[in-house]
Amino acid sequence: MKIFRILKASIRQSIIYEMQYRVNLVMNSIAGFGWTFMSFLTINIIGSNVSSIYSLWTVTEYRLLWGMNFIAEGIVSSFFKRNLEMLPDKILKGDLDFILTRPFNSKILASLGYTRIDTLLGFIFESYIVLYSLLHLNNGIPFLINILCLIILCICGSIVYYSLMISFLTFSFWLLGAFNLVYLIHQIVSFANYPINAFGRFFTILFTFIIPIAFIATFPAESLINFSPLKMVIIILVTVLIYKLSDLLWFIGLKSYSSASS
Amino acid sequence: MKKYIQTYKLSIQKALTYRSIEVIWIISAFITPLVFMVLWSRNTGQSLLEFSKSEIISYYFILTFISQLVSPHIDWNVADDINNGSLSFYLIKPYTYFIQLFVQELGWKTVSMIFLVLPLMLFSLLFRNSLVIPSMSIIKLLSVISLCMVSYILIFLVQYFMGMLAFWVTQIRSFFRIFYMSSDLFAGKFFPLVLMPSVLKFVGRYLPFQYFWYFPTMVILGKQNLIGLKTSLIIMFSWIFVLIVLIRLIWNKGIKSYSSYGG
Repeated sequence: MKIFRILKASIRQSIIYEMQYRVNLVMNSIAGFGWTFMSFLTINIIGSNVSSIYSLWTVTEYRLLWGMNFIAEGIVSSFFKRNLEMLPDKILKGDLDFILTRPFNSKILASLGYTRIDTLLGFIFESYIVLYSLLHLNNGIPFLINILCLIILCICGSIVYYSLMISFLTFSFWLLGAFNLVYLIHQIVSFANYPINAFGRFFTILFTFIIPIAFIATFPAESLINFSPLKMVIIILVTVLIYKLSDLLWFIGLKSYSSASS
Repeated sequence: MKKYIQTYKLSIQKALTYRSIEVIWIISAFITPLVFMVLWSRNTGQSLLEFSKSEIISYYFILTFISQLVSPHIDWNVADDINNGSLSFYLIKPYTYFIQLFVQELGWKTVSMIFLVLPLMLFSLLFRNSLVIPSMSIIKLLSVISLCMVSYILIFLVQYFMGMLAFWVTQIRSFFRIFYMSSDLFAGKFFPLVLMPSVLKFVGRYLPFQYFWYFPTMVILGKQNLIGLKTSLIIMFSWIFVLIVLIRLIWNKGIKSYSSYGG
């Protein structure tokens, strides 16, 4: 498939680029791991002191949720985030023309290009936490089936995160030069590090129906903990819906785009 | 002096032109504390170490306000000016780069303070039952304002120092990521430092980061005893002194290795 060929070329190019700046790669890997560890430290301190979390979620379940959120975030950061960060600038300068004139889906082309490989160290740590939590989950399901469901749910979580990022970025078609929109959605997703129901009714409704970050980790983790195939199917369907909505927003945004030559 | 006043005015005009960017920055800055404030406000436990429930919510509120007030954003400016050669543009003009940057940043800060009023009012309203802002005498208020000014200078110097690494490092992003990580952790953005593991607490005491936002916040909350206050001030001023010396050294050395296209 074309998308995998583009992805393969993007990874190859990024590795060649990163190998030119090896010290930078090592430093970035340390920083990436540091951020992951810091977040882990924070959720442990908050989780063990805030009653709306520890009364509803066990430590194992809570760490599984955190890990799933970070894996979804890691996938988006590795493949899309750096490219999407540059999107507002491309819209401002008219550089989006180079993407629009190519014979492929413009949204996907705008999202791919540079692949980060410094996220690998953090990803190993997150995977370790998730697998460790999964081993101690005791939901009565064989480990291999749990792993299979986990992979599917993490892919869904990253698609939701990616779609939300694209949806927010479409505002840059109107708010010209708003390069920090990616940062804004990144901050909002920090809510997903914690069980959404711990924030109370208002935020549960907000993060389920308006900005659906509950579908990144909270609902997927819940469906795995209670092993509910029905919930998993609903999550997959909602993921498709959110992705399609981001497509729609992207094309609405494109209509407001005035290229450099027009 | 006139040229710097002009720079300040221009900076305000620029900040007002790109006001949507400024608004997004401010909204983003209030999201992380909102996460913690909502979580703590729903906690049925009444206290945590030396913090009552209200105090810990107020902690995040005051810390965010202080962080927005005293944090310049010059590290990337300095690094970009060095990397893309724009520094030459400043070097040929009859003013000091450092002061020009300082004044420029004050312009941005003036505008951001206007935009800061709205989230502050919103948060005060949302958490009106939980927030406790200790009453302050005139002397304490003046001391807090002076402390914030010193914090601003300290952060400015640290960021300027970080930006100047670009004289030798082309890909500076990784250095900045480590810097942001350390400053967010040790400046108490995620939780009060008293909750930290003791090793990290000890290390943090001698790094400059906790004097960015954490120290002024603890002074406002009245959680800093007199001995601790004196030691903290000594460490803070020592860092300022060390940074001034380092910056002078690095600038003199770096400017000799600096080259720009066409220059």
